[in-house]
Amino acid sequence: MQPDYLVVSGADKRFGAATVLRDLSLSVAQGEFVSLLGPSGCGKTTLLRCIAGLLHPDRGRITVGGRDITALAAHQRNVGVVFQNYALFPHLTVAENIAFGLRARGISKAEAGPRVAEALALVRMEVHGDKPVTALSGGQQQRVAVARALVVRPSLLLLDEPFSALDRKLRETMQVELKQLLREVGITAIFVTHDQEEALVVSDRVAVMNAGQIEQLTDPVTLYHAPASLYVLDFVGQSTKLSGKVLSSSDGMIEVQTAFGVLRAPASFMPGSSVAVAVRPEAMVLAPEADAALNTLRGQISDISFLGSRTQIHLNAPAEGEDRVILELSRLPAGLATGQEVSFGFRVTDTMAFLA
Amino acid sequence: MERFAKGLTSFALFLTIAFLLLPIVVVIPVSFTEAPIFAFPPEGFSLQWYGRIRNVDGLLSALGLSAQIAALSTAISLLLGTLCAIALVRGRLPGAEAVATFMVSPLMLPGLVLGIAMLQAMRELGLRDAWFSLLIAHVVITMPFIMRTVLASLSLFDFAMVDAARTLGCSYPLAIWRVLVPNILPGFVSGALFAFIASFDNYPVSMFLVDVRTKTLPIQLLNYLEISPDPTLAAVSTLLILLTIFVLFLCDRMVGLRRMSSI
Repeated sequence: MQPDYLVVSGADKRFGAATVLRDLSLSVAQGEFVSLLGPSGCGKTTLLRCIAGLLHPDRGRITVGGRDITALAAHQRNVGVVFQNYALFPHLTVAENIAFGLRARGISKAEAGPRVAEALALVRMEVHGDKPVTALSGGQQQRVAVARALVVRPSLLLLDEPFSALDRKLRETMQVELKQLLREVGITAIFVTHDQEEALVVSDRVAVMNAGQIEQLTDPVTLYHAPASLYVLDFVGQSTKLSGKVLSSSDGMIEVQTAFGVLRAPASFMPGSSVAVAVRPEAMVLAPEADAALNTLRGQISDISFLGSRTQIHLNAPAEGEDRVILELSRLPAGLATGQEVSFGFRVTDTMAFLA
Repeated sequence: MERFAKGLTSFALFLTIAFLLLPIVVVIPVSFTEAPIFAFPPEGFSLQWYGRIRNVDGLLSALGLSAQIAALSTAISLLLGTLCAIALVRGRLPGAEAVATFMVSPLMLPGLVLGIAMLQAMRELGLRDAWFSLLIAHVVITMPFIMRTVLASLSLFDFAMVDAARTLGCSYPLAIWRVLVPNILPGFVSGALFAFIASFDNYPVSMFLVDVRTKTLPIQLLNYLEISPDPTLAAVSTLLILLTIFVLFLCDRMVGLRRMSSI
């Protein structure tokens, strides 16, 4: 395993007046799955297209396996791409689509045959080889697109929102299926997505992008539990955010005054500074016993939403204000009603604080 | 009431079709007449007017010239028009809409205006050769037909396919050839068909550019009609109708008329 297999260093890209990539650097290990996550316009697709060679950065270098490919055109790079709507060729059959890259490399029909069959088997589409691609379902089209990209044995696979064209249920199945398939092949893969859940499911590491830069690049668990900024926190998962003022600070622990009362968080900010305190909904408990490791607060139930596997309880602050708390419980205790005042708590170590 | 309305529209449709087709259909029996005049119903049956086509001075060479000009101008328009259409659809050109409208504008311009303008332009350029003048003018005539259908096809074409072909190892020109061209083939075929016909039967523009030895078929036919209005013209027309049917049949076989007319 090469730790710096794909390296993008100092990439800038401008379109007219708009800067889409700003001095962006990224390093991906061989065989690793990395997601580029961000809202539309954050530059994630531009970065993908720069790696594919469909765009060229104004500045910076891109290397794969130590080889500088910055100046190479797309067709010289040997980088596979699965496009958002798959971009299958409707004038060709499934097998011809898969053979396309082999034929473009000057491999004869006879030689390409077994490799196409192998690729068809890999994505379990053996019986569909002679069908026109227009006759396939969304999931099947995705498999053909993956087979077409993999059959040429690319040094890298790029996937641009590969699940966005599928309905929700199928998407979840295909995410797991594709992840296993790519592991089996052992390829290095970069996913572009705006869906945070998808990023957490499919990747070893997630790069959250913001305005042409990578805001945080880390594994899904760290990303969820220790987001580096408010931006990352907002983008990944649900959370309750309370604004407040730092009362005191000592030994890496701050006390914050919020609309719900005073709470503690592991951070060191100057007393008096404005902060946002955040907690994940599932980190909260209802009516906790007294415990020094917990922040314990009170609030009034404004809404109870039953979501099947879990129930969300929305709480209003006792004092006037906009701030609300969302609690998530896997089992709903009996006798709860809206309007009721309850106490709730969460571990101090689960409390995140950011400068607002 | 509803049935009556439906019946009325069907009747109107039938009348319109008859109105459009009857004059054309009448030409066919007339071409087999024995009489030396255009008369319907025809008298007797003979193939003499078909035989005469070969003997009428300049008719065959005019046919050859028209076919040559139409084929060449269509081919040139296909190549140039496709490149222009790609630039208009893909390139971030300022005023692409206006340019696209301009490129199809000769369709809206009266042929006479275009013909006079062409005549002047050729004079200014000092181009005296009738064949080249005709070819250039006919590229102008055919271009809008190609542009219109190719632009329409391209607007439905997913250019991610070209990107896909590039990442699979095709250079940009090769990707265009292997992926874009086969996918907009119906647009090419129907555009080329209309362009060929527009060139083949063009009169108002060609009339300013022909000379004594270089005459296109419509001009030669009209000349002939003025001298001896006999059923030879009906025979020529019948052959042209046959040719059109044959070409339409070929197109249907190749890409399907339904796909063509949808563009």
